[in-house]
Amino acid sequence: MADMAIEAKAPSYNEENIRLQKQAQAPRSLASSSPAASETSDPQQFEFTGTGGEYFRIWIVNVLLTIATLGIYSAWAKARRLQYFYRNTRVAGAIFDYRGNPKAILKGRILALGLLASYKLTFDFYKPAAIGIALILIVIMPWLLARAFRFKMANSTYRGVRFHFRGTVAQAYKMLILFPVLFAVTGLLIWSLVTSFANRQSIALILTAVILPMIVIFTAIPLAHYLLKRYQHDNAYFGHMPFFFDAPKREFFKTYGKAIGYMIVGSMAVGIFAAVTGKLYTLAMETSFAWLFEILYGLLTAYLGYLFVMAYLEGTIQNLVWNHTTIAGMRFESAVQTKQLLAIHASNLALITLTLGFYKPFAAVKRMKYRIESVTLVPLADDLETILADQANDHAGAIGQEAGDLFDIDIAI
Amino acid sequence: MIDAIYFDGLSTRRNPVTLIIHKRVIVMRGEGIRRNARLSQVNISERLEHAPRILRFADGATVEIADRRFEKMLRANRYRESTVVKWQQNWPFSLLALITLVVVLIGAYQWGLPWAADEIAQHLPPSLEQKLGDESLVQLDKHLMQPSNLSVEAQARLKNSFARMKQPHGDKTHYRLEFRSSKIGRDGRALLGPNALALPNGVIVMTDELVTLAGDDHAVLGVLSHELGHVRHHHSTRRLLQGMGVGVVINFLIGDVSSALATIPTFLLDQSYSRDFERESDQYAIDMMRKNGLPLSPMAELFAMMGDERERRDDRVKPRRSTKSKKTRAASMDYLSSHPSDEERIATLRAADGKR
Repeated sequence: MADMAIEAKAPSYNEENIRLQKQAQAPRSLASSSPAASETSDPQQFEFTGTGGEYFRIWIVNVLLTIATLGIYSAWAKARRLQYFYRNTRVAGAIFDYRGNPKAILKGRILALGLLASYKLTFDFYKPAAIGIALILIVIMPWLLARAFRFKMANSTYRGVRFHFRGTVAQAYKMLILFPVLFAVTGLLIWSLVTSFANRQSIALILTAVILPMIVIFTAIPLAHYLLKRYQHDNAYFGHMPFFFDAPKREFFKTYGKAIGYMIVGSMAVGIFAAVTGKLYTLAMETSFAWLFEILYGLLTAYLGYLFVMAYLEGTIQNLVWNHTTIAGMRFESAVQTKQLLAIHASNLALITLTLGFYKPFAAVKRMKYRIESVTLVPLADDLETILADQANDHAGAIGQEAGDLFDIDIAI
Repeated sequence: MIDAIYFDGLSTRRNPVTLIIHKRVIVMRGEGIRRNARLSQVNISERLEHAPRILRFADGATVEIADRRFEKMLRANRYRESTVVKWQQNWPFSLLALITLVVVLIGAYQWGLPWAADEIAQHLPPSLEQKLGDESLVQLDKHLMQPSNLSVEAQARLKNSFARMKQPHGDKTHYRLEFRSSKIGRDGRALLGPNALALPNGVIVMTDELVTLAGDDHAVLGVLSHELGHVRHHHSTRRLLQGMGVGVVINFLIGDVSSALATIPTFLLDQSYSRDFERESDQYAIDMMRKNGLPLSPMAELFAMMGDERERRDDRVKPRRSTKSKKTRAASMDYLSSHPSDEERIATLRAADGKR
């Protein structure tokens, strides 16, 4: 495919260095047409240089210190983790950098934990208060998301220039109000399921109570996802260069529609599989390892379909989003293949289960490497150096007022 | 002298520079760039194996350094990497961290969490446990139990006999005894069967089925002592807290991979806690019965009968297993039981009787 050709052309780490040394010797500015110009006008593939072994060591120390400090270190752990993934991501001969202040991250985590813990505790002990807290959570969620996006972008840099997120809180409410609606409808669905079965009402009533919210949810999810991505990408800036997002809404509906289709086909396949292996199942249930078999059987049948649909959604949405994102004079190409992502997910899940979770850092690197390296930066007319040097002046925010904000928080998303 | 790339923080222009550190001062020279800065005034990103270092200046300028000789320069100028980073870069140290983590997790599960849950349970306001218990009783009455069919006399007799018993270790635990009978499910089987429950608010529920099956008051009193042990040691509240603790840790470790996968270890670990509580309560029952000079064999026989009853029930449902109804699935999960095996419990009780 197209990305193979790009891969061959993309300069490797070492070639890049040699080239830079040559440039250093040449007494000419890089922005003018240097010998490198012909190279930087080619598409640039994103590259991920991290390894599972190195990330494992970072991860294990993070986990241990997080547990030893009863979670306080988790903010520093997050900063180190993001540093690792950002700095190992390179494109056009330069790397990304993450500068988030762990103290701001800690503040956000305490807030989020406080909210969730009070919800969970009151849910166990006093239901009305839990409903109140859930409502508060839903109401402030768009505000929190806007703050978190802003924090994340303001602390991301490339070539010494910061990214920015300028989405307003008002927009967040407008664009993300679908999420609360979604939660409400899901709650309604569960509630209607529980009550209708508890009171053994007529089938017709159950069907309307279940199917109506289902339809609402299935139309709301793609729309909500579309709006979230539009909110994120359309309000992002690199220095002063705005990103533009022009993915059509219907593509999101199409992707999710296909996912539901796969889910139905998958459950049919699982049904056939269960019917064929039914005899084996009954036999195995007679042995003393019945419980083990039951768990494995359940996992197998449940995950076969689930994994595929998840890989499909993850890959297709990434392609959809990045293939429709542009920034002055540049666009992105993303070519994630569901088949490959599925293979990565399946092997990751198997190895994580076998190692009781300790394969997790290797799995994360494997997945991110594939996803990052599927993306290519394509200069449209000019060569990359000219585009970047000419337009990315960032007079206002080099030191970044936004990052030092008093209400600076970061929540996990 | 090494090559580096200088970014002024205002544009993304790459400025190739040469860099050297001399007497803890960074000196950079390039096309139109002459910059010196003290090592102590520059933020240096942590070392990574495959990624360049980034120097961050206070005015927003940055330098990317891919050349590995930079490490030597830093060392020569007494730059000290943080302990955490040194730890992360060292395989033996990080494997030590892995072993420590496993030991800490096992220790926390075995001793830490039970200790913490015990402390919290003892210092919780009684009103909270009251509320918890009241709520569970309402739920139980709604879904699993109905009013007792035992005669008022029989109820009073059991209540009085148990009230007259002295609690062990000088305890004066408050409790309230309630009689209920089990609701019958749609498949014609009792939902609760012969059973007794202890709730956080000190309510002990005894089913008619258990009283009938026991036939002997001594067996019923033994079971009541066992349930009083649960109340005395706040087992329901502790189990709730310990379950939360296990859930939080497991979710932190693998929850982001798959929440469905995370429920399996959570469930298994919770069941093991439950078995510990049952053993503790069995011991409490032994102490209480012996203090009052009552025999434990009737309780042992009751457990044996309950075991037989379960087996009969399982045999009956076995042919229907392939239909995979929820009830039969629960029956097949006895291996992951919340209680120790009948054999173990019966042997303990009989042994205690023998020692008398």
